[in-house]
Amino acid sequence: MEKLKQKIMRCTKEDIVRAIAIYAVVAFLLVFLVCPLCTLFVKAFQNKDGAFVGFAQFIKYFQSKSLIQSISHTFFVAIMSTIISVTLAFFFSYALSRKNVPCKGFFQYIGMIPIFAPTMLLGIALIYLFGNKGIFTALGLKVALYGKVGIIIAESIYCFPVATTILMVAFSAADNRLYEAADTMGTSTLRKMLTITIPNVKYGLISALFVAFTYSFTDFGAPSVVGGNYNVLATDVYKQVVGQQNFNMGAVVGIILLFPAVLSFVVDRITNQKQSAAINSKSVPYQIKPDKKSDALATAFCICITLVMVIFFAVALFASLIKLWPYNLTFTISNYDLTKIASGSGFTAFKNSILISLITAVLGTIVTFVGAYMIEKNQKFKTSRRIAYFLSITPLAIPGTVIGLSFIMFFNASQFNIPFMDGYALQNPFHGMYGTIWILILANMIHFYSVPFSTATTSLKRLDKEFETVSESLAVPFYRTLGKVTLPLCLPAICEMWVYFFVNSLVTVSAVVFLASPTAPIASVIIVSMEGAGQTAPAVAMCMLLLFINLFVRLVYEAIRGRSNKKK
Amino acid sequence: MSVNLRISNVSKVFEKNIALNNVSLDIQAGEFVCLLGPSGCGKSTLLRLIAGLDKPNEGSIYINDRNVTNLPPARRNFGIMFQSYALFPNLTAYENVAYGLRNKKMRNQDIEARVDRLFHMIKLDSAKKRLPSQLSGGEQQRVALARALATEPDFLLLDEPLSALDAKVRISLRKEICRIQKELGLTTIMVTHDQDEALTMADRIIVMNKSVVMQEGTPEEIYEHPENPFVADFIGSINFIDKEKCKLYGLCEQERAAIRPEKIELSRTEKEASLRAQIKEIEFRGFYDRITVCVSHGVQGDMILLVDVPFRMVKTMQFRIGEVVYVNLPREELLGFKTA
Amino acid sequence: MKRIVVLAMAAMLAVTALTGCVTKAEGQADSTTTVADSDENVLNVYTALEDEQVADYLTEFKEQNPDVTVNVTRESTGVITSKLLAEKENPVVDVVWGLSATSLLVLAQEGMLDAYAPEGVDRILPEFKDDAEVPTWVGIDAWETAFIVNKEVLKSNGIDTVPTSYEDLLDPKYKGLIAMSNPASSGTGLLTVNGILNLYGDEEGWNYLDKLHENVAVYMHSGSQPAKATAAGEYGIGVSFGYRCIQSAEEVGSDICEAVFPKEGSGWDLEANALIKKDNQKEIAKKFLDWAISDNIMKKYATNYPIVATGVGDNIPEGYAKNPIDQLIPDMDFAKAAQNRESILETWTERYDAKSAEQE
Repeated sequence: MEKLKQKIMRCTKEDIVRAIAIYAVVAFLLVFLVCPLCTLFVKAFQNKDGAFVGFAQFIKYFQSKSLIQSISHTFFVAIMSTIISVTLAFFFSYALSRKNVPCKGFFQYIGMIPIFAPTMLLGIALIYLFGNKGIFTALGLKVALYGKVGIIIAESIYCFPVATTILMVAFSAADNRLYEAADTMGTSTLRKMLTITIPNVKYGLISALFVAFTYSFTDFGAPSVVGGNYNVLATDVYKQVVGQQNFNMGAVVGIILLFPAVLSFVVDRITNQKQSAAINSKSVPYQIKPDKKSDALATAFCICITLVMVIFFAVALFASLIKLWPYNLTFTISNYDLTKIASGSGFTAFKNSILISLITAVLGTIVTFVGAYMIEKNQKFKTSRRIAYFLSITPLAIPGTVIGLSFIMFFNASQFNIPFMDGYALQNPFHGMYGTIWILILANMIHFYSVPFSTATTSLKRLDKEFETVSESLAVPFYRTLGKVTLPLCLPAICEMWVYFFVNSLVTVSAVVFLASPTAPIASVIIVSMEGAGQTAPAVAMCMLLLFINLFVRLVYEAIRGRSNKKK
Repeated sequence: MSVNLRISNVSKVFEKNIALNNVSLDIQAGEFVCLLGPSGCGKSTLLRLIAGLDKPNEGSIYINDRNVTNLPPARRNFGIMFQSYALFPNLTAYENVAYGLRNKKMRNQDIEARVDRLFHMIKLDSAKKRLPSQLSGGEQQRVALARALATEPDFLLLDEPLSALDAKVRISLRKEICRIQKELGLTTIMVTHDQDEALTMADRIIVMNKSVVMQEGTPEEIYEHPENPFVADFIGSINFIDKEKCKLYGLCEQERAAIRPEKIELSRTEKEASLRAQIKEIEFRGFYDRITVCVSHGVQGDMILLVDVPFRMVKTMQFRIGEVVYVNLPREELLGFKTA
Repeated sequence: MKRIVVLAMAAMLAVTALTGCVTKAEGQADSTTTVADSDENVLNVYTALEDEQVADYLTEFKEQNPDVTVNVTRESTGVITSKLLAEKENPVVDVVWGLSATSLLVLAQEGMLDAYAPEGVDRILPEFKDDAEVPTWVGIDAWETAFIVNKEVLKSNGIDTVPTSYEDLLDPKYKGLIAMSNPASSGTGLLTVNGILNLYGDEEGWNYLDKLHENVAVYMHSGSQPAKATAAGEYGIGVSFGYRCIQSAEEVGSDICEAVFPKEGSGWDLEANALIKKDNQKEIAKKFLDWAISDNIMKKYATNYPIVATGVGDNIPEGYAKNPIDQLIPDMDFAKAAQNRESILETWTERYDAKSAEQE
């Protein structure tokens, strides 16, 4: 006790601020990440009445043929789309980083478009292209769209941007001296590729594979549109939970969805560490040597990819602007009349979506940055920092579907029974958020927590770690240095985090599909329900609106970044 | 105002690694002390403990006889400089220097006057408005020094401040720092692994190795009278001669003997007590040549010695590889150690 | 010393906050929702009516009650039903508007509905409302199975006949051309299955559905989706409901699409309203139920559906048979349908959800 007293006496005002900040972040993650997940686990072992039934729900699940089928379907689709998207992304990023391709920025941006729109849009565009009355079908290109083919195409496009982003980073980390050494020894191009290039991007490649796999394994949007009768786990969860309100079975499927995601997360962590160890500051950046034939080939490939993207989104735009596909192709903008759709709540939903994205972006950026700052720039609170770090990167392994499920279970309960204390229960203080936009904001903050957190951590790591020491020696409190030096220096990263939160919150479906309520409808969920009611054109129009807003936000961000770069 | 520092039986352990093992030091007011040692010897840890950035597991630290062991850094009133300069890149040189002052309740014109004086002192009056990225490494480090001095600290801590600089800039900054330190009479502790830096700048050198202090003393004492083989070896070059060879050549009685290369005399004529040797290697070192010779005495008695021959002598003597020469090891220059 | 006091106070605050959350488990279930619920200016509604209808119908209510925020969740019948069942302990909504009578009977069996006789309930025909004096549910209209046939799609598959009966749908030439709604999620799907089971009897009915399954390309989420997708040329035949089939056929033109009512008769159900039983019932909820069967709105229902709860209107909407009542399969027993709902859905899911997956 005396020791504790001394310890407290030794705390400075700053220490108390730091303590509050770090404990607040840990508490935030414990309450909104760990608690909901625990609720999910508990639910999986209960029946509808809340009695403990052990593995009964799991056994029931594995006895159902159709549900078992979903597992193999999901694996098949995820593996195929992973292979396709990563292969394409590999050559795309190779062409952009290692070949003399003109208009690189343009190609890169077009390749990024899919992340700015809800995945339903990809599915719907596919129907317009390859459906029974699709444009390509009319030209004689017939594919059995509904089912695995459609899902694989849509997921491949969906995963392409993220795989490209990872691989671009991997390719940019090459050491030119290796290539020069190989050239002096007269090494062939193929041998250079096999012995230098591929080993060099190996970890990026593994990381891209696993991230793409997780994305396609857990996506809900595309299968819900072009899946037909081809059931996958994500749509199963939706059917169980939204269709039949069977939360316990939903929890079981959610836990099954967690396995590959956690696995890929672990692999990603390991490879990440190795990747950073492979590069050193002495490396010389790669010098592109012009080579007419391969440069032309690379350019042609980039054009092809870009063309596919452009076709997809052009078709979607077209679909949103005509009266009735395929029989009445007159131009109309009535599909964009938000007051007419979704029982009149279209406009509210759209407004809510933007509001939610804005709030998520602001709060998310603050929380992740404060978290990263306290973990990175702090000497004390070792254990708390370690816990905070672990919890901060965990959301990367949690599919949105699982977050949505665990949130609905956690927030819906008005009280939790305390074990061994019959008759007493813990009131759930967060129950009031159920049905408001705050539950959606929190879900988005948790769902997209890890990437901005890593962005913040990386940018903080890049700063001289002695800034804080110098400030301390000058008796300047840390928050002053944070405001005067650290924040201004991290501003580009902070903008990037903000945009990431905003863009993703606007288009996400997987988590929020379980959480949107009559009092707080949101655009992406309205799109799902409109699509489910066969109102394809207004659904596309809504998708396009979200896409435009995201593109606008991104362009503003790029403009700001471009200007600040010039200033330097 | 300058302070004295006392470090008393301090130990620090990092997750089973002992970084400091029962270290005690006394530093006088106005003294310039160098902590010298190889990387991992604990010198930086000691500096951090003095700064209050880490807390010792055992022992106490006193500033002017006041126990400050648990005092946070902000209340110890010191200035600090790092190898990386750690200038705030988004602030001008002027704002960097004024950074610590802005927090104190000082009038703007007082701040201005003080910062101007500091810039004058570091001879960078023209660089006030520039950002750190527009300054050279040496200039940045001078600004960092001005920033450390701005709050009128009681003592100064320098963490390898010159290691990132070019050789020439480094030498000129050495003088600059020493000049300012003497001018202000500021107690200063510098961590370095560069022996030249320590020998030229410090009033007193504290040689550390493996978490303990090996020897402390003036640069001359450390160089001329190393107390143990580690110090002898770490500072300057030295030839070690083990017990058997000592006996064989009748050099000394102790466990181990050593002699600095420049103390060995080399000639073509045999003198009393000189040893016959053959030249194996000649290395050009600018103002001297380092010559490797092999003294032989029977089969097991070969002894390799490094001899530094001044440039003038090299010119006149024109030694060649393979040549037989005579080396003389003056007994008074021979260092004896009780341990191996 | 001050610091210790501050920290001790913080700790005490945390402890009290925690203990404040611990209460007796009984009878507290929805205390936290009370505040939000008793707000008379907010009305939460679940409905399975068609999207475009909801917006149209609601205009009047909103004009009459400008201060009231009406939050409407529209989903397919199955989803709305499950949602209500799941929220049994802690209902979110105040009223249910235009949900199938079968589903409302399920809710009534669970004791989730409160009896309420809205103004003008006498005008509602007896077969369109609950038998009790103060009814627990009051119907507004009826809807029934219909097909939409995309003649152009059939033609491109070399077929120039139009199916007019359930029997016709079994013809192998239609294999892979039929879209139908999934009864687990869609009320239309369920009433179609119920109609067939009623028409053929249980055993024969399931046999028929087995055979139909051979021809069905896809089971869709909602009642509308098969009609919409067929009208867009994705399928040749959509098994949907009358209003949607007629409306979609009209949209694309009679030369391409045609709405067909099966010769054997249509399975049907009522769309009905009910008051949810909860502690803090709102006056506005009752007011809404009064409005939902008022004359004006009944007229509006009648523009879309031929059969409304006050009787068959004089102006039967275009495309419907002259006597729409005759089209309906007689003796549909909603009480029985409600009782069997769960088992029928289970059987259906087991047979066709799993089977459709296996074919892949």
